[in-house]
Formats: sequence, C-alpha cells, structure tokens
Amino acid sequence: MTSLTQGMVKAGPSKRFFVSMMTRDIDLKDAILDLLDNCVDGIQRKLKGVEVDEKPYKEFWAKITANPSGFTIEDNCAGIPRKVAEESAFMLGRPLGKVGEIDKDLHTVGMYGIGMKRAIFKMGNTCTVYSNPYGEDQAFKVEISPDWMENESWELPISYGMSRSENFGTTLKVNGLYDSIARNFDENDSNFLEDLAAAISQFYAVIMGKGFTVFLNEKLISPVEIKLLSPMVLAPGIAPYVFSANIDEVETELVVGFRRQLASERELDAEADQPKSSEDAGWTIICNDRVVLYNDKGSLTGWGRSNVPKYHTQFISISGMVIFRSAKLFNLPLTTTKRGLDTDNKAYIVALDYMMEGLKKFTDYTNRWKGREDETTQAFSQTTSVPATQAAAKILQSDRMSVVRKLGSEVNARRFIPDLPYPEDKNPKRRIVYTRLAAEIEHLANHFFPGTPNVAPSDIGIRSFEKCLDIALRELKK
Amino acid sequence: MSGADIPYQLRPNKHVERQLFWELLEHIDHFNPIRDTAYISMGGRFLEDFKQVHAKFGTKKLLSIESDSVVHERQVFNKPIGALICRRMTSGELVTDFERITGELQAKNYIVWLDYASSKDRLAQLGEFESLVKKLAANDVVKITMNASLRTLGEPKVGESQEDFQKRAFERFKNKLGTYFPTAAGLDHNNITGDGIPVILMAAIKNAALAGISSSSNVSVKPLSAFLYNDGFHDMLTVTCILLDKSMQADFFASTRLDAWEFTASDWSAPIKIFIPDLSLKERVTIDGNLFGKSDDEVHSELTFSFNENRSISFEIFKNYVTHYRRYPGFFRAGT
Repeated sequence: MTSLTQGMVKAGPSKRFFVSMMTRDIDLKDAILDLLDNCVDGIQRKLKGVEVDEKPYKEFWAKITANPSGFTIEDNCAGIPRKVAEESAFMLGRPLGKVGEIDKDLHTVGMYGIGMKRAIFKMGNTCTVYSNPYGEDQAFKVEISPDWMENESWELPISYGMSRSENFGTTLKVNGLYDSIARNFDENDSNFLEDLAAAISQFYAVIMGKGFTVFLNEKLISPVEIKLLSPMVLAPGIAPYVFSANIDEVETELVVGFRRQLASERELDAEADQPKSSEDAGWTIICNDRVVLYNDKGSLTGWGRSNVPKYHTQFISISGMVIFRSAKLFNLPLTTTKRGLDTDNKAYIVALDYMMEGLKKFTDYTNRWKGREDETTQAFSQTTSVPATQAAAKILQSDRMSVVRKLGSEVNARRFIPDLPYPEDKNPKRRIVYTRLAAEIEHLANHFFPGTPNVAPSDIGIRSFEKCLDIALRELKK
Repeated sequence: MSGADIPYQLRPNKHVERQLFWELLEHIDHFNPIRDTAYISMGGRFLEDFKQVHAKFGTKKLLSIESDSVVHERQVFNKPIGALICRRMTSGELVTDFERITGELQAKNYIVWLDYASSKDRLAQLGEFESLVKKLAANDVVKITMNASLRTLGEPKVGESQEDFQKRAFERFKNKLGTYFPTAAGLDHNNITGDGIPVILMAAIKNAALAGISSSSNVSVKPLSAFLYNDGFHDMLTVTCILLDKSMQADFFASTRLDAWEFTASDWSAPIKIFIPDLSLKERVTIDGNLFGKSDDEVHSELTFSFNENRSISFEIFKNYVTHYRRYPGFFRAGT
C-alpha cells in the first residue's frame, strides 16, 4: 500500500504579471490623477477633516512636470508618514485593517492602495519617492530600480536622514519612461498634456474650488465650474430639482436643472453639425470632492432609462451634479480607476432613481416648449447663473424641501420638485416639420427675402405658412 | 376601433375582470384598509371603477386622470362623488408628477391603475410603469393593463410562411419591448401565438417591475393577479402587483388569505384566461338552474346549443362561464 505524502505548490503572485496587469486597466491620465488624489488625501490627513472655510485647501499645491525625459509630481501636502511608508504605502493593495486606522473619519479617496504604484509602473522603470512628512523628525527616500522591476523581491530600500526640503510634502520622480509615455509627454508630438490639463480642470474642479492649486509644466490649471440657473425668488418657475439623503452612511445630495436658456432650433441645427455646447450638458458625479464622472449623458446617469429620454442635443441646457460624501470609503460608488461608477453601490442605486426623477422634469419641460423656446425667455429672466452647489444650497436651506414618502425619515430623504411653467393651453401651438428640395426653398427665399443671403430654411417655412394662412383666411371671409 | 368605445358593462369578459379586481382588493383590505388608500386610475367617461371602489370600501381619496379634453369634460359632468378629482393629464404626467400628487392626496398608500389600450407605445408604457414602481412605497398596489393581441404584430405577407412571419413578428416584438424584452426566458418565434404574446408581455412587465424596485433592497414586488381577456376587439393582459416590505410578506399572505383565492397569481409566468360566452337571459337561466345539481359535463351535454362547433372547446367555454357565473353581468333595458 502506497503511503500519502504532502507538499506545497507555489501560489504567490508573479511581480511581472502584477505590474503588467495593473497598468492595463487604467489610462495614463487616470494614473496621473491617482497621484493627485494622494496629494489631496495628504491634505485631509493634515487638516484632520476640519474645513474651516470655503477655501480650506488654499495653502496646498501640486506641481507636475512631464516631458520626454521624465515625470515629476511635487507637493506640499504633508508627505507620507514614515510608519505608513514602511508598512503599507509601497505595498500593492492596502493590508487588512490599515485603511480604517489611517483615514478614520476622513473624506479621502485613496482606498485600495494601488494608485501610486500603478502610476509608476505605467510610466517607467525607475522611480524615486522623496517625502518630508509633517510632524516628523526626518525625511526619507524610497527608490525603485529597473532591476527591482524584474526580480521577484517584494521589498524596497528606504533611506533616511537626507536634507529636508522647505515644504512638508512628497516628490515623486519617474525616469526611464516607456517610449509611448515619453511620446505622450512630448508637446510637439502629442496633445496628451492638453488632455491632461482638461481632465485635471474637470476632475479636480471641486478640490481646486476649495483652494488647491495644480501646475502642469509650470502653468496654473483653472477648474471648470458647473453652473445652474437659480431663481432670484423661490417661487413657481424655473428652479433646479434638489434631493438629499443619507444612504448607507453616504451623504447624498443631487441637483439638476437648466444651466442656460433652451436652445433655439437654429442653434440646435448648428450644434448637430458641430457639437460644442453639448459638452457642458449632462451629469457630474462627485465622490468626496473628487469628480468621477464629468458631464455624462449616458444610461449610467439615467439618460434613456425607464421613462427618461436618451440624451439629444435638444437637452443641451440640462445639467446636474451628484455629490456623495462619506468617511466610509467603501460605501462610496468609487471604482479603482475613479473614473465611472460602481453601479452596484447602494447610494448610487438609490440616487439614480431621483436623478431620473429630476432629469425627467427638465426633459419634459424642454419637450413641452419645443418650437416655442422664445416664449420661455420671461421665465428664464427670473433666474441667475450660479455655481451648482450654491443653487442647491439655496433650496436646501429653504423650507421648501419635503420628505420623500418612499424612503421615509430613516435616511432623512428630502427633495424639492420645481414647479416648471406649462404653455398656455387656450391657444396651443403645434409643430410642422417637412422637407423640400433645396432649389425650391431657394426660390421661396428669393421671393420672400429678396437680396438677403443665407436665409434660414425655418424662416422661409414660417413666412410660407403666414402667407398661406393669410390667403386661406381671406378666402374664408369671401 | 378599440374596445374603449363600448361601455364595459356590455363586455362580459372585461366586467368579470373588474369583479375579480374588487375581490382582490377585498382580500388586501384585510391587510391594509382600502378605505385609507388613495385610488388613482383612468376612469373613462363614466368613472365606473370609482363608483365601485367608493361604494365597496368608502375610499374618498380618488383621482381620475384623462388626457382627452372631450372625455374629461364628460367625467367632470358624470362625477359620482364630490371628493373625486378629475384631472386632465396623461399617464406620463401622472408618473412624472406622482410625488406632487401624493403630496396633494396625502394618503398612506396608493392603488394606481395604468390602463393602456394602445399597442403602439408598449416601450413607453413599460417605461412609465417602471418609473411609477420606483416611486411607490411598501403596501402600494399597482395594476397595469396592456394590449396583448397577436394581431398588433401584423399578419403574414402574401406567400410568407407562418414560421417566417413568426420570426419576423418575434424580432418586431423584441424591438418594441426594448430593454424590457425577457431575454433570459428562453423565448423564441414559436411564442408568437395568441397564448404566447401575453406570456412574453407578462415577463416584460416583470422586468419593468423588478427594475422599478432595484433601488429598494428591502422591498419586493409580488404579482397578485394576472388575467387575459378579450374586450371585444383585443386581447388585454392585466396584471396587479403589490410592493411589500420583505419582512411583511408572510403577514400579508396570512392576513389576506390570498393563498386560498383560486385566482392568485403565484408567479409572473402566465395569466389566467377569462373567456366567458355572451349569453341570452334564457340561456343563463337554463344553465344556472342546473348548475351544481348535476355535473358540469351533464349540464353542458344537455344544452340544446353549444358555444363552438368543437365540442371540447365548447365545454371549455362553458366551464369558464361556470367559474365566473356569479360575476356575470346582468343588464336589462331600463326606461328613464
């Protein structure tokens, strides 16, 4: 009889596999944004979550330098605490329990502990991380060499005692850039840096709005601003829809409304040829101040779901913002790339119903007034353009928020549904749409508008109708 | 022409379905009093269902919606009780403005009936249904009626085989139901039959209902009844469901004793058919006079007339009458 023997097989990760797999799931822009997230998390730790005024981050900055010879990000965001550097910051993924200990009660966005490593591996094979941590007595440096990238060791050398920079912060330098990355960082060869600047201005809009400054190759990046039309007086008329609740320990607040007047038919025709203004429409989703989705017009944010129409240029005026905040990072609908949403997240699933409810009010309004947009000017004149957060705050602080029956008081769900105007029903208007040969339209243009160049077909249509109506009415009187 | 032009008192199948709805509400009444529940539906010119729900349960929070101005004017004239609000609005507006309406009616719970006749906008109808379910709370009841006629999918072209027609119609139906089409139900063109269409449609209603509760992890949506009947022109599918807190499900079935009601829908799989015959008073009196004194088979055999040239089909129709004879409408000419 054969006796049983036991042994072990290798089941650990291969470093090469890890490195190549992690970097495939993220694009370069998002990898760099991850590094900026680390800066902001550093600020949160230094401020201990206390935000004294509207610009709590005004003293903090990050400077990115990117060119074909290397990438550097330097900040004054308090640095990496030595203990964190030694025990977890350079690990691939945060060890169990550490996340709660480091960032307890803070509204950070670094949750998985892979952002910095993934960004480094994405860009090149050599890296130095220098940190001068706030409140500690010495700076340190960790180096990643091309050899380390190739071997199977999971430990990195750390050195202490070097001279300290004037700021408490971190400087991360990547050299030995991969060819494709170096090309992206070459301003003469690629517009990547332009795209990166746009992404920073969008995805860091809220954080920069709180005073954080970001420089890319020494140029200051300005945040985009999401604005909405807010009523001068909160009365029936144009106003945003607002919802707020505390779902699964996530403070959820959403506001959707018009960011501008309804687009005229002529503007929509031009937009269809060359979309410009549409870029500013849609939903922006923010998790702990970090924009994770910017001006989205897809089903993820309710467009084309249930009874909400799909996005179309006629909805160019609609814009919305959802703000999720929580000290429990895993309760936020964040993905590892922080681009897009974790669609299984409870707060998101609940919020989506109300995003759709709000959105539908404004798509309905747009449809109701289609073809008679000029009649809405008066209603829009009662509003002013303000930052979306301010538009929401005005309503949230009013006594107009009502309890959401379905969700009840348990989650403190409240909402404001605007009373958007309806067209007068007494003499309703109907829309006529038809297509005719261009040459025939030109004949009419010459007839109705002699000597006027480039008359819009819609104007010719209106004039034709008026003339026909005139004839018909005259004949009826006979 | 749609069945809407004939008062439903004169459409026996539809009348029976309405009676079954009141029976269902009587069961629900034991769990959550209908008296305290608001009732919202599309009441038509005569607001017949509002008369019934008020008479049976004393419900005073009543809202009828109607998009047609002519019908709306007649509703206002025919209003059977002062508390009834007759509002000119579309079903889409009802759903979009539902929270405003609940704010106005201030009821603890709601019964909402989306009564769609047209086969043209099934996708929009299911979208409205989903949106409404999203806005409903636990213990609210929602009923949806949709056109389930095979003929709304067209007819075979000249020279087209039945199978080719079914394949074409299947694709068309799939398209019309959009994201609500029940892909996982293993359906194919063989389901393009008079009996198959309601099954597909019911599965689509299920999908819309489940999408409606996707954000409510502690709430489930239970089908309570599902009927298929011909209203004189079209096969209509009507499904009633309730939103229940998961912890209350056992209580609900214990209080309502719906498990013992022979018409309770156990799942979303297929509706119960109502296909009672049109009977003259003399025919009814003859049949009723013999019912339960003899076997159904005997009563049917002794009839000197039949409901179909095929004897077994005739017996099926007869049996359906026997099931519903108590609910059969009796109308007589009256002078005013």
